[in-house]
Formats: sequence, C-alpha cells, structure tokens
Amino acid sequence: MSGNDPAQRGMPRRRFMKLGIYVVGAGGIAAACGDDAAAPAPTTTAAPSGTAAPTTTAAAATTTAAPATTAAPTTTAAAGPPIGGVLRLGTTGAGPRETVDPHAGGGSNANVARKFNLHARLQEIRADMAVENTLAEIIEPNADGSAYTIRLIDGAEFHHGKSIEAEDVMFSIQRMAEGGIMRDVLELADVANIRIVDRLTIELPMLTPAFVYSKSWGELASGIAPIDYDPETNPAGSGPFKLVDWVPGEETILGRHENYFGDPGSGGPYLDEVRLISFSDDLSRTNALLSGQIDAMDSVPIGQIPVVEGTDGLAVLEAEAGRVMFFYMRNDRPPFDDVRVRQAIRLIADRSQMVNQALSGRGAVANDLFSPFDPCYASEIPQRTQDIAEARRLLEAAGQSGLTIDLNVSPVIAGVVEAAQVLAQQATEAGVTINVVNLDPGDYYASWPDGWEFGFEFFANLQYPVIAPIVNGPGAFFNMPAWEDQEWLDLLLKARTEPDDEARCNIFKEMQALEHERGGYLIWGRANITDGYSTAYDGFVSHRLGRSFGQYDMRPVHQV
Amino acid sequence: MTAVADTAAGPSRRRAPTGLRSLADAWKHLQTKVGVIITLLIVLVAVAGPYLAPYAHTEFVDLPFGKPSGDAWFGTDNLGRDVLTRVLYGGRTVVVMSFLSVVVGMVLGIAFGLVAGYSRTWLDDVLMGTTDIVLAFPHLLLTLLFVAMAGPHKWLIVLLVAVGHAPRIARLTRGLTLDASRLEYVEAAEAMALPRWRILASEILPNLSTPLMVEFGVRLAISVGMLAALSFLGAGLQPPEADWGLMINENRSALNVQPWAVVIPMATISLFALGAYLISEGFARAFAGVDRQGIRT
Amino acid sequence: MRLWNRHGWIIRRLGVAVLSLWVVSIVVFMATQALPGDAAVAILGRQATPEAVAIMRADLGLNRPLVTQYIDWFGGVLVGDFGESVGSGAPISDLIGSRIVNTAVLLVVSAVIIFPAGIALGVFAALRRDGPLDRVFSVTTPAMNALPAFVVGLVLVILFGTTVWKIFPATALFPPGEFPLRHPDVMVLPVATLVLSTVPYLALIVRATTIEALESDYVQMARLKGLRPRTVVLVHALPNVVVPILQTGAVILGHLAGGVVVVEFLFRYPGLGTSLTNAVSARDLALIQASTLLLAAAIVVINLIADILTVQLTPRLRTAET
Repeated sequence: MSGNDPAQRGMPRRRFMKLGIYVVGAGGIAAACGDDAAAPAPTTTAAPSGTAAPTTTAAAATTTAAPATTAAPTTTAAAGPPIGGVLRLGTTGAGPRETVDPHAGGGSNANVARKFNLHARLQEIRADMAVENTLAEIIEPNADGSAYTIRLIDGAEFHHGKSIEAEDVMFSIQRMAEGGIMRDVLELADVANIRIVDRLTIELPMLTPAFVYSKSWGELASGIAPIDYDPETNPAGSGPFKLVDWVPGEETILGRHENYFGDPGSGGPYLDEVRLISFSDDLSRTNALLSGQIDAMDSVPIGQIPVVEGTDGLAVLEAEAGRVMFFYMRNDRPPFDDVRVRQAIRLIADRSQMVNQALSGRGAVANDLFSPFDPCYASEIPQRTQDIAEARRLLEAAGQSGLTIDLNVSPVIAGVVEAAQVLAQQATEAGVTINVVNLDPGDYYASWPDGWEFGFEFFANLQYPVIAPIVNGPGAFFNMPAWEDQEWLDLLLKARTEPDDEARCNIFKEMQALEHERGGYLIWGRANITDGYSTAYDGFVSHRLGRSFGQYDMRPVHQV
Repeated sequence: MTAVADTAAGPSRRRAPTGLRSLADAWKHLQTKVGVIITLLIVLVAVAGPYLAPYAHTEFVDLPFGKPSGDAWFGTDNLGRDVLTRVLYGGRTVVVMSFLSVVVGMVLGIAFGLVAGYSRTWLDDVLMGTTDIVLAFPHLLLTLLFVAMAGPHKWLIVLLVAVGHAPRIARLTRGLTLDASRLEYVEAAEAMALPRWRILASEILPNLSTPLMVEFGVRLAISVGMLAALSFLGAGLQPPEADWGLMINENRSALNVQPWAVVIPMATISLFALGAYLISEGFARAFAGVDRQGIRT
Repeated sequence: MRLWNRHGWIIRRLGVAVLSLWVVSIVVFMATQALPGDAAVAILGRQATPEAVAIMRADLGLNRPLVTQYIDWFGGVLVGDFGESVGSGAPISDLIGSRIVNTAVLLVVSAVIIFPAGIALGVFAALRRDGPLDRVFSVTTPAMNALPAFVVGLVLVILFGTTVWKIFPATALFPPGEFPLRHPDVMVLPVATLVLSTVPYLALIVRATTIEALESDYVQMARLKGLRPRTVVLVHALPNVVVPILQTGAVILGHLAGGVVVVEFLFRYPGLGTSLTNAVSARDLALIQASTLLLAAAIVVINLIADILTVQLTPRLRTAET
C-alpha cells in the first residue's frame, strides 16, 4: 500500500514523517500501530522495572485452546447482564499530551482506550484476528481494482443524534489520510476524489489498481467521526461510549451511548460510565487496584501478577503473545549497513533467555518476523537461535570483531530495558560490547529526526498486508531501520495488484524470507498482555492482537 | 539560613578542641563506637563485596523475582540475577559517590566560608549573598532537571549533590571563622603581621575541625538519602549497574512478592546513613560537652 | 537608629529573596532550553513539513537570541503567564492552577502535624533526659531519620494500603479540580509519609536546643531561686528555643517543598511534583519551567518569613551584623 514509488519518496520525507509522529505522539508507534501500552510520554523516568505489560508465564494460567480467550463473556441467557455501574479503569496516560481526536497521534493507553470507545470503525478485528464489517455493510473492490465501494449499515447514529452517512465517512477518511499511520495505509487511495454514491454509499477511487483495502478499516486511527466534528467544540463520536468530561492527563469520563448501533458479538454497552484514570507510575496504579480505588488496570507489572492473582476479588486476564517486541538496526549507517553485522547481532540473541529474563517467561520467542497470526505468516522459515561462533565469524568477516555500540532504550513498556540488558550480557560472549542507554521517553522520541543506530520499538500483531509496507517499505512511516530492498519492493508491488488471495499469500511469504535473510529488525519475542480487574465486573475480553482488554472493549463489560 | 541565624547557633567563644583531641573524646561515646562499626561494616561490604559474590553481577540465575533458594539465598531480582550478588556489588557506587559529594561540597563550602568570614569586607556580603541564593534553589528538583538535561553521568550527580551541601557548610564555616578570628591568639597572630592565608590555615582551620567533622557525618547521611531518592525517581545510576538505590527502584514493583531485593538495599542504605549520623553525634557530644545532637540547620 | 537597622535588614533580606528567585528563573530557563527536542516539531507533530516547522519556529520566536527569549518568558511569568504546554497547547496556568492548591494543602496539613508533634516529642525527651523514653527516643529517631522518605512511603503503602491491612487508599485519587480536603482519606498516607520522615529530625533538634536552654545560666539561676520546674520550662527555657526551632522549621518546610516530588510521585498525588516529573519525562518545557519556579518560590518565601520572624523575635539580633 504505501511507498509504491520509492523514487518520489526520498529520505527527507521519511525522516520528516517519523519526526512528526514520534515527537507528537510520544510513542509514535503506539500511536499509529496502536499499541496499547505505549504510554510513552508520561511514564516518568522511574519505573524500568515497573512498567510491565507482558507477563504471565506461558505455563501458568491462560493458554489452553483458544488464544483469544473471551473471559467469561456474559451469560446472555434470558435477562442479560444488568445495566448500570461505573467502571474505573487505570491506564498509563500521556499527561497534558492526551487527546480525544480519533485520528491524531498519541498512543498512550489512555488515548487508545478513548479511541476505541468513542469511535466506531467500518470494520473490527475480532478476538480470533478475523476482520469483520461492523459500521460497513460492504467494502469491496471493483473488478480491475481501480475503486472500492463502501456501503454503510442503515440506522447507526452519532452521539449527538445525527445518523451516520456517506458524507461522514468521506470526511473521516479524508481526515485520517492527513497524517499518521493511515496516511501510509491510504497511500494508493485517491482520497481527494471520493464520490458519494447515495446516502449510505461512497466510492473510493485508487491511484493505481489495488486489492488490499478490503480489510484495512479496523485500525486504531480509523474511527468514524461526524462531518461537523471538532475535537474542541464538537467531540461527537460513533462508539459505544460518549465523552462526558475529561481532564487531559488525569481523568476521562465516558458515558453509555444509548443509541449505539450495536455489535453482533456483544449486547452492550451495559455500564453507565467508564472512568479512565491516567497514572504515570505503574506501581501506584497497581496499588490503586489492590486497595480498591480502581476496578481494572491494563498491563499489570510482572512482579505484581502473583499479588493480583492472590487477592480476593481480583483476577488477571492474560492474552497470549500479543505484543511484538523488537530492536532495530539502521541499514543506512555503519556498522549495520553491512548485512553481516546485522545477522551477527540477530545470532547473538538467545531469544528464549530474553523471554525468560525480561518477560519472566510470559511470552514467546519470535523469528525476526512480524504478524505471526496472519494467514500468510511464513511459518516454514526455521526459528533462528543463538549461534555465537557464527556471529563471531560474521563479525570478523565484516571487520567488526570487538564491536562496541550503544543500544538506546526507554522504559516505555515493561521488558524493553530488561531485554536490552539481557542482550548486552549475551553479546559479551561474542566479544561485542552493547552499552544500554536508558532514556526518558520524551528524550527517546524527541531525538528521533536522526533516529538511533540501534533502538527499540514494539507493535501490536497487525496483519501482514498492513504492517509490511509500513515497517519495511522504502521511505515508509515506521521503516526505522531505513531498509531499502529493491527485490522486496518489487514483490510488494506485485502482491498489491494480485487479485488472487492464495497467490498473494505466496508472494508475502517470499517477502518474509527476504526480511529474515537480510532485514534490519531483531524481533526477539512476543509478550503476553496481562490485565487485572475486579471480579465485581465481568465480560472483559482478551485479544491476541496485542492491546489490553481486547482493544479496551468495554461493551461487554458489566456488573456481576 | 542567614547570617543572623548562624552566629546565633554558633559555638561558644572558648577555644575548641582540635581534630585529634576530639577524636579521642568522641570515641568515649557509645554512639561513636556503634556508628563507626556500622559504617565500617557497610564500607567493607562495598569494598570487599565484589570479591565475595557468588555470581557475576549481570549473570542470570533464575526467573525474575525468584524466591530464596540454595542457589540464590535471597532470591533473584527483576532480571533473575542473584540479589545477594547485586547487593555485594552495589555498595561501591553509593559509598564512593556519597563520600565524594560531601568532600567536594566541604571543600567548596569551607573555601567560601573561610574567605567570607575572615575578609570582613564586601567579599563577605557577596559570598554570603551567593549562598543565600543557592540555598533558595529547590535542590532535588534542579538536580532532577540537570540530570534529565545532560544525562545521568556520575560526575554530574556528585557535583550537583555537592553544590547543594556547600552553602550550609560555608555558613557554618563563616560563623566559626568570625568567632575564631576574635580569639586572642588569632588577634595576636594578626598583630605579628603574619600573612592572612597562614593565619587561616594554621590558626583558624584547626579550630574548625571538630564542628566540621560533625557536619561531615550529617552531610554524608544527607548525600546517601539524596542519591537514593534520585535513583528512586529514575535519575540516578542506570542499568545494568549494580547499585543499592537502583535496586530499590528496579525491584519495588515486586516488594510484596520478593521483598529481599528491596529490603536488603533499603537496609544497607539506611544503615550507612545511620552510621554517619551516629559518628557525627558522637563528635558533637565530645565537642559540645553537652547532650547536643549532631544535627544542625 | 535601631528601627532603621531593622528595616534596613528586612529590606536587604527581601532583596536577597527577589534576587534568588531571579537567578533560579535564569537557571531553570537555560537548563530547559538546553534540553534536546524542538518545541516547534513537538507542537506541529505528524503534519509537520520543513516549511511548517520553520514558520512555527519563527512564530514561537525560537530563532531569536536566548536572551530575548528569556526576557519575553520572564515578562510573562511576572504577570502570571507561564506560556503554553507543548503537549496540549493549553495555557500552563490552566494546567497547574489546581495543582498549586493541592500541593499547598499537602504541605500545610503536614506542617500542622509536624510542628506540634516534633516540638512536643523533643521537649518531652529533653525533660526526661536519660530516662527510659529518652533512651528509646535516642536510638529510634536517628534510625528513622536515616530512612529516605520513599522508603517510609513504600512501607506505609504495604502496611496500610494494600497487603497487610487495607485501611487507607494507597493512591491519592480524587476527581480533578476538587479540593483535596474533601477527600481526607486519600490524604492520610501521603501526609503520614511526610510527617514520619520529618518529625524525627525536628524532634532531635528541639531536644538538643531544649537541653541547651535548660542548662543555660539563667535557667539554672531560676531553678536556684526555687521556681517550680514547670514555670522554669515554660517561662524561661521555651522562649529561648523558639528561634532555633523557627530556623529548623524553615529548613524542614524547604525540604518538604522539594520532598513532595517523591511523595507525590509515589502516591500519584495531583500536585506540582507529579506535574514536574511528568513534564520532565515528556519534555514539556514550559511545564517544567513553571513547576520548578513555583516550588522554588515557595522555598524562598518560607525562608524569608522564617528569617523575618527570627529577627523580630530576637532583640539582640536586630542590630547585629549590619
């Protein structure tokens, strides 16, 4: 989708986009790719240990069959769950940088929770990772891929009573294309020339033929807002809860939207109010849950999971291997401009040790690839394991024996600083010195324009067709390693215009093989997501996509 | 805080016992003995600890926050490293940095105070005005700010903590110098037209040694607390360094699951501060001859 | 002559206070300007193009000399305009108005407990010198004194908030904008942390000064004259203790104003301290400047008041030194 014409997109633009999102959103990736825990700006210097989302030993609690466990979703028998109640949800906020704008950056957990509850989307990513239409009735390309038709369901309403119509969708798509991750996603679409077909239908023309927009409308920054939307004066949304009041960085009060268009999966919303309370320190957040001042919290710190589990009236909800954890290496600068050095670092990593020590075993190893739950994931590529001898050989061949390098990290989320320390320790075996530089989140992201030679990020488990162009496309938004590979790009262009699903899938797998062979990411693991809640409430959903409470889905939540 | 107060709280006019005398006097007090034993113990752990540690300080022994076991007597920390090993390695930075910051602070403060107290000119006003201004700084806040700005360099942290000590030491020294310079033998030395720096160095400074030793202990305890608070706020030493303050910060999220990783460094830090207090109290008692505690404003 | 001296001294003292604040403002401003990151980029965010950034930089006046920027900023501060938050674009005064009140309440409530408690403990220990209570006191107070405030706070939370007994809220959560005293329960642990970490220090000093006063010549004389011990203490000893306690009190309040950063962070208390730690981590420069400057101003004013009171209460000092 994005970056089909690398020639037009030189370094300057890429740098610029990165700069923008990182600085603003403090945790840009999170912003865009929607990582729940992103939480950047606020986290305060303090809690490297504290943060913590990942969690729960693989062996322990959850697991079992369905990865996307719905935690005892309701008992929608006859009466249905009781209406009413106020749920106080403690999240990591972004201080005064928080926003209610559905399309703006700022990926703190509080922002993500607001985005998903205030605004509905054309589609939703279900707990089993299937993408289903919700506000949309139909999203389909025409035969030659030159345009998409999007038709809405009838009868849905915004918070202020206006019915959701074609003009609102046009307005929203154009607004989301102005920036952020959706700009890259929508790059092949000619958003300026959207045509309103009838009250509920629009036609979205393509700049070049494309067949990849059928399932891209459930993402974080793609909420539907009314045509008269204004974040300051008219913050009306389409989601299950409406904005009652909010103080940035402190508290947001969401009230039930009585005329919510409904969702096939749940009968909600049931709660009268959801209060999102922002914290900057994870330990005080956990203490608030333990002492009953809040009813639920996302991302319980690893050390506190046993305490929450062992407390009467509290429980832990665990989503397996949801968050992709990785380091990136800049391909356009020494020493990582030499593929042998990148491969050596990838071979130095003992991934299972990283998962054990940095995530307390609550997660799974990864194979330098994204999207493990995508149907097109290249599972046939063998898992890379530690090989110190080979790493030494590659480094020597590259003339980089005894390499010393800084690894820049920030305690934005649990496991990052920890994993960097584990990697640094492992690197000593290969004669490589990795200096872990632990920065404040603001510093880590503010210094972005030049990027880091060696840094970290984390993503949700987005689908491969969405994530590939964003993280590896030349000049793309989150191409942090600045990896530019012509062979890979040719394959991407071929995949986009390939109408057949299976043929497209095979192309995607070839692309993953290239990423595995010479890419710029060290994707070492996937962290479980562990949320804590009071058992006075029920209906919380867990989701392997990688955001807490099934993308903060408060619709099915109700009092017991 | 100001000139007025210091002279009010200053020592009496009599000639104070000099360093060695007061050392002997101080040792007679129980506080001093207990304080010295505690401090020596902590310094011993800090210096010899790394040689006694069962593991390397970055070695992974178990899963994070493991319970005490035969392999790890006090369990493991947030990365699964041995708590005992981390404690044995983690004292050096605290001990060295707190000592250094007090030494630097005292050198600065004594220099300022001596010159101000003895000059009795406009220089006195300027120097004491400067200390007033520095005293008005919210010390911890500005330290946080500077560390955020320039990065958590050890020298910077030592310097910032030292600058916080200097004004009060300068005020104390100035008050004492004012008193001492009115003593007969100093006046006699002046009458003999000895150079000022010689009078300062040979007559006045020894006379100040005991109260300054009292101050040293107090300042040391404050340094320890301040360094720990910085680490707690994440602006102190950085991982993977082993450091008591950092250990508290890294492991506090599991305080009620694996308390040892927090409680032991808490105890060593508090003991170190306590030892310093007790020694200074012993000196204070020896010096004042009364039950005056070794803590002054 | 005497009157003039006293007034002269107070004016000079005021001058020092103003000068202090001014120097603090320069240090804070320069320090924050040197922080990495570009305010223009931070405001524009992802829509930024190089041209837009250049325009925004010009709008914000970031291209001007530092001195000019400082004068503009300081001019604003003088009339209560601290600029705008980089993150939200909201005026700083909106963001921290209620936080100033919250921090002030926390400090005042703590002080109201600290002073009577510390003075009572200290005097009591001094009167029963070397009695069993004094001995216990002599051992425990230095030990308490050696505990950093956050250690006290962590232990209190475990004891009374979460793990052992759930009596008091472990975090200071209350609706934004509300007056903290309307929620006395959330104040308990933060206040207790501040009290427990400062009372030992105050008590030690009160004990020492009281003992010194009790042993002074005139108190001994009063005793010899056969006055009742209580009269001796109340009429002769205590007044001489007031000045040292005032000075100690100023030091303690100064420490509190800095120490609230740690306590607010620990309990998520919505005051200036948390606003500062959040701003530092988000690199919100205007917010850092405002929070630091306000806390510094509090310390300066506290010291000023203590010094003026000291001089008013000590006749012999009014003319000294000047």
